[in-house]
Amino acid sequence: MDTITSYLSSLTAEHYFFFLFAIVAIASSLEVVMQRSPLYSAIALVFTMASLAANFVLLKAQFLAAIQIIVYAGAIIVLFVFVIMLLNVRAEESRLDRFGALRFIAVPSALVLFLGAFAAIRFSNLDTLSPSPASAAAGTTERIAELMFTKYLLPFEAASVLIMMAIVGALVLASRARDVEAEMAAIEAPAESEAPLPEPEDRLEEVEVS
Amino acid sequence: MLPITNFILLSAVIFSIGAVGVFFKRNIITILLCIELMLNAANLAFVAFASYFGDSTGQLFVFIVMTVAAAEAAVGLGLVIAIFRNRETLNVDEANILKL
Amino acid sequence: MTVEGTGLAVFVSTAVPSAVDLLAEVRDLAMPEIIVSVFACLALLVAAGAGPRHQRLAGWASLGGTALGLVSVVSIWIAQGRTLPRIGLAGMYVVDEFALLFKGIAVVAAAVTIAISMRFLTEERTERGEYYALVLFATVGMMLVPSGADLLSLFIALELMSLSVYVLVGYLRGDGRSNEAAMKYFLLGAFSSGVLLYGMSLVYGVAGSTRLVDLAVALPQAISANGDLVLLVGVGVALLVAGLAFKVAAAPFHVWAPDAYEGAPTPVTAFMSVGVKAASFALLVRILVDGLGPLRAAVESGWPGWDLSVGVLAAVAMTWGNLAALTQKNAKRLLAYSAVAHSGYALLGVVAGNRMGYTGLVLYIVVYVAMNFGAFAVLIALRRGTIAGDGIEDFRGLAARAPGMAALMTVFMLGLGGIPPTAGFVGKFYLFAALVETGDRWLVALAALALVNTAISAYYYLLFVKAMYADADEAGAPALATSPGLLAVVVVSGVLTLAVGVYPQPVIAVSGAAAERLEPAPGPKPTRNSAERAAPGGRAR
Repeated sequence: MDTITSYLSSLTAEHYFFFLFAIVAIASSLEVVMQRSPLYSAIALVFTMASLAANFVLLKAQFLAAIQIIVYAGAIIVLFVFVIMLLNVRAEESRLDRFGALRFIAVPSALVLFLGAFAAIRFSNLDTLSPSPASAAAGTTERIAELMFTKYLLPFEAASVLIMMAIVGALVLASRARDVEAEMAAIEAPAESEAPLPEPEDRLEEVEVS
Repeated sequence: MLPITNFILLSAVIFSIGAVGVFFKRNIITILLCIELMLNAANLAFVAFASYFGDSTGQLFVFIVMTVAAAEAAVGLGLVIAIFRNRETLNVDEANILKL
Repeated sequence: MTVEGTGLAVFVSTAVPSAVDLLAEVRDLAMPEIIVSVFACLALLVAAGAGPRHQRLAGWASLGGTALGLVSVVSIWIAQGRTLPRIGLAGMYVVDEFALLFKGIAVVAAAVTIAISMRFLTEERTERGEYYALVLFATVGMMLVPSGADLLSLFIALELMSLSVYVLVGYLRGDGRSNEAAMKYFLLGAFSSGVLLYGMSLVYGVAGSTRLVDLAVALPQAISANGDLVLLVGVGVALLVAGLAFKVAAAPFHVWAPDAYEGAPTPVTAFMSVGVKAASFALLVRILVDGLGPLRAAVESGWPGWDLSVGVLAAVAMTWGNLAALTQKNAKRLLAYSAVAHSGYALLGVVAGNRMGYTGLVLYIVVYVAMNFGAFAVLIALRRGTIAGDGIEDFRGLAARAPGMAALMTVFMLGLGGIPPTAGFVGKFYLFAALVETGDRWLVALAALALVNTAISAYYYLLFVKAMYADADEAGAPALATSPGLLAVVVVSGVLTLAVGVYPQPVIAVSGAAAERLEPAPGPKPTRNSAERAAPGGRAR
């Protein structure tokens, strides 16, 4: 009992914040996996990201904390939510037959992975690493901008090419504006496409990927 | 700051949850969300190490990973829409899309 | 936070000269990538401007871009050959013979893919200029990968390549198989990127740097300073090896490959099996050999190095790939399993880890490019009108209908089977001899296993030959869908496969030059650029 009270009295506000946000992060990431509705999974992921942003603040990475909220939770997840609502994806069935037998290899190996990582981290004596005095300035917008446009210019430029490519890729996959098949068909055989209306049943969750 | 083990353990937990989720979920969008969890876990580890080294490399890495995640989401959701159209509504015209 | 002396004057006086230096460095080192990126954007503009019937113009523009890119790569090699390796762009980017050779492979792969795509896309009635732009974007990624000198630049280059290829695999939107292949490839590819990224973060956490040269020094130092860290390094390296095995499609991490290869448009399958595979091997060599080289063998007693896991991967990939290929009916699926087996063979060079092994790895990838492109080009010619043309039975009677094509296909199959006098034999000879040269009992056994595998693989490669020469054709099949570009690819690949098999010295010399710097030096690893390493590496715990 004494050890517990002495431990509790040694805790600082930082500890409490960390434990609060760590519990929220773990609970909400479990929720991402356990929820059967993709919409709720996405919303749970927003909670994970927000609590990770809080952890970034504890780690004095202020710029990334802001970006995490604005870009990751605010834009990327909203994109997911938008597509989920657009396609009206409903809850998946609880059948677990994706990738067939691979699952029986995957789950134990993921558990082994976690336990291995846990042991590795726990017993690696990482805590001998004390915070560097330089760390206070490492996470400011100023410092990150300076590095991005000098030392890390190449990855930054490559990232811009990547975004360009992603825009084109998303257009190629999803756009219908310039569909050559349709245009060719329209030129050769006009007006015989009586498109059937989509069935409200069997939506996206029916798609088998394995 | 707190001992770094706390943060790395948290990231390992989230990574494992995401990795298991990828193999458990059947819905393409949810699998993508689980992959986002894995990326987030790696980001947390990078930020934690970067802070303790006082080195901004790890933070730059996280910034680039966020860009990659955005691009991945765009391509992945494009694929989702293509599959959805193909399986459901091979010949939908504009009206049907708006109805979705 | 304020910086002392902030002001426009100070900014201009410091920023402008450094920007000029940077531009000069970019011009010297990264010109090929810039050319290809610019032409990718040009292809997009052409695609937007040309009407639906003139989309091929974008293809011609892209082909021009690859030609200029190749010229640029070759001219860097010629002009700067003596000053290589050069590390530039703040240590993010390395240009050496290895990088230049793999850049050349990437550009050639892109050019060949574009050449064999044009007729194919017309047959599929989906020719759009964006396709060619995406091929070029993937090529930029493939060119950046072998030049990566930092985990960050390697990661972003890998993603640029992979994401473009996911889109290309799903390019035939109306085709359910294409969609499904793209989805499966995308999900497993993104998953493996996540695994790779987490491995990178753990390695960074131990080494304190993402530079490959720093990793090579800092990781063994950190382990010897704090023996407990070996666990964390072990998990990080295991994740890296698993992620890399996914990328090179080494069994048992190959589950995406057969479906992705089968469902993708055939030219994209060829691109994946050549360009993506070569770039993935460049990534593997950069990370494992350059970055984690000192961890090859055990650093701490009782913990194996990564050579064990890579050796096991190679053995499993060869055996699994060949046995699975025996039962396939679909030619693309068969070639996918054969590609898994070939990944296993190529990994043997990394396992051997001597000069002959690295030469063999590079040589094998070079000759594999020629043989595989030839085989896929023949396969593409069979896709015409209403015939899918991707079953082995579609090869029936090809000898009677197109004797030249059949003869060259025989050459490619003999080459992939590693039968002399083709290029495939030379490549396999180097890889197997490198294993024997090490004298290690287990590695010699691995070479024996590889020999047995080669014998197994001869069976399914000869199935194609039997179908072409011994089986009768069904009457009335339409003519092959050839084009000048496709014929040129088939003929050049065939000539190369035979010529390298008969007179391999020039290719061996080039491969040897590219592999030279991968060779482990006795004693401490030579520093590529000791000035770059001052910063945080090797933090003592």
